[in-house]
Amino acid sequence: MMRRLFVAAVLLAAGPAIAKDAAFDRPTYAGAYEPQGVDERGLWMQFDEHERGFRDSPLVVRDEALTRYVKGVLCKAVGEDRCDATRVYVVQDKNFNASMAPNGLMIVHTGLLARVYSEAELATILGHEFAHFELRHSLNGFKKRRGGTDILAWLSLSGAAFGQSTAAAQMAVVTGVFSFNRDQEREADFLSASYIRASSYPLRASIVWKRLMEEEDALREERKQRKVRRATPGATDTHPTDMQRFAYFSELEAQPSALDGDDGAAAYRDATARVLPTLFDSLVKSNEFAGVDYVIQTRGSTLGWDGLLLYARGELYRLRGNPRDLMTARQLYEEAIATGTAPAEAWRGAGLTAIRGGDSAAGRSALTEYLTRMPTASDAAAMKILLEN
Amino acid sequence: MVHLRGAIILCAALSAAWSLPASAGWKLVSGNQVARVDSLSITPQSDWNQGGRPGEQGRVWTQDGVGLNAIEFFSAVPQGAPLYKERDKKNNPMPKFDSKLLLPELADFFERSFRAQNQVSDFTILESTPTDIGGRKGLAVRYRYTLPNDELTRLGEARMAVVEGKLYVTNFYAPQLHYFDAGLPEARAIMERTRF
Ligand SMILES: [Zn+2]
Repeated sequence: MMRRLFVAAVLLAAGPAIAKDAAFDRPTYAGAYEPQGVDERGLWMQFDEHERGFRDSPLVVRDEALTRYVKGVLCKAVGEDRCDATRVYVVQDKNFNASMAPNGLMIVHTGLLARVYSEAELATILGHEFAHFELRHSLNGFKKRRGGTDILAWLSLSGAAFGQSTAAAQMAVVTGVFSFNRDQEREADFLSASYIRASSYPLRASIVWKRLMEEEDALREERKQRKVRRATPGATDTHPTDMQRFAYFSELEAQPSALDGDDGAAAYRDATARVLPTLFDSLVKSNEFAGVDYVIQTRGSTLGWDGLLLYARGELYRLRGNPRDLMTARQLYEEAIATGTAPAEAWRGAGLTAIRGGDSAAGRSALTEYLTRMPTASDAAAMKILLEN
Repeated sequence: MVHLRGAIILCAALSAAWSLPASAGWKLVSGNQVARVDSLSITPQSDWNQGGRPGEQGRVWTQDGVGLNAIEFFSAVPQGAPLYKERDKKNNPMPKFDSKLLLPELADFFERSFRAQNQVSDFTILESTPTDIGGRKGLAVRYRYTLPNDELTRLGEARMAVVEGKLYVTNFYAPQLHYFDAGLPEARAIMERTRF
């Protein structure tokens, strides 16, 4: 009770956007909430339509346990009453992102789940997206922009202008049109922090932004690009800079009792360990070596190394394939195998790197083991050719 | 519903591909005649349109627009060169071909190149099997992928081989909905009849 009261107080403080309009007395997350007014009804209709198409997208990760887990973290963060209004989808996308449509559809990228290491960290991001929803940022932005035009006509025009008609594409168009401004982003960050303060989680937000900066630095250094570390956003930036977010979250975290509570790191590790390939494959196979190595190492040092994570790092090195990389990769595959939790593909990697390194006997025996463990591997026939030579 | 949706985006892809031909230099390739593409001799059964270069050593052909069906031909990609052209080397560098790759690793290189070229997060190799390419040992890779902001499942089949240290790839891809199965027989015939 105390908690919810606290949130209510923060909401009132959050600004006139919600308080001023009598039609919007009912919160968006209220049970059986009906959108209010022609604009909001139009928006919800559009997004319900989008969601019907989106549900079938091959990009949606079909893993009920994972989806339920992410939704559970959202519920613990914002409260059961609020989270009931949302539908969560995990989407295969290597980038760090999440988004929420004004009808309660929340999208969480695999690249986000790969880059947070406790429920508390995840909760701050999910809370941020939920805050946009609760604060009706889409609707307010939309009202401001559309002037007198009819919403549906306007939306379909904006879709046609981009020459795309799939639900996901329209979603991208619409979220682009509704890209929030910096004040709204900041507002969502602060509301998210207050959800967390009212929840059982400690506030663990600044570390997420710090790591994103470090990852970007690592990648830019590898690509010989100069560092970006702006204290203030550029004219075209839609978000506060990572540095600003790090700074104001650090301040909030310094408040009394802000860090109290179980951050759910162990639970997060257990819930995501099973799906590491889903979370890391598209990162490992991208061409962002230094950034991805940073992410993998951070997960390893934060939550511990297991067979799947060591294997992922081995793949990263083997795929870059510099001469020294192949030796490093071979060692990582062997470490993965030694944990007893390596996937069969670790023997594939060990075999390929051994052969590349001139150790053909060890290579053959590892590849034979791979085929024993995974006789129906998609490349079994190609591997047999290697073994025959 | 899925089909209707598919049809709409296909039209969009189609018109995007066809609004360019004159300026992008699309050229008709006639069926049943030998066409030279760089160092390859190719004999298609039907008419195709030859477009630009997806890679320094590559060419693309299509019948209904590259969003619907396309075959790419890459010939003699040298050691250290990317398969696809570097379009934004700073922010999206392409993986570089290494002639020391083992046969099964060609699939890994192809996958990474295709992912970077198309900004794909969802890509699965369905099967990677040895095959004979013009009397040489090569690899046939069947795969499935989804483009970002797209709901269509797309399929592809590529063949690749390393000849004298250089990489040769032919790659057919199309939406699973109708176009892949419709185009595969001719694509396979083209791949099988390609001569270096
Ligand atoms: Zn935001």
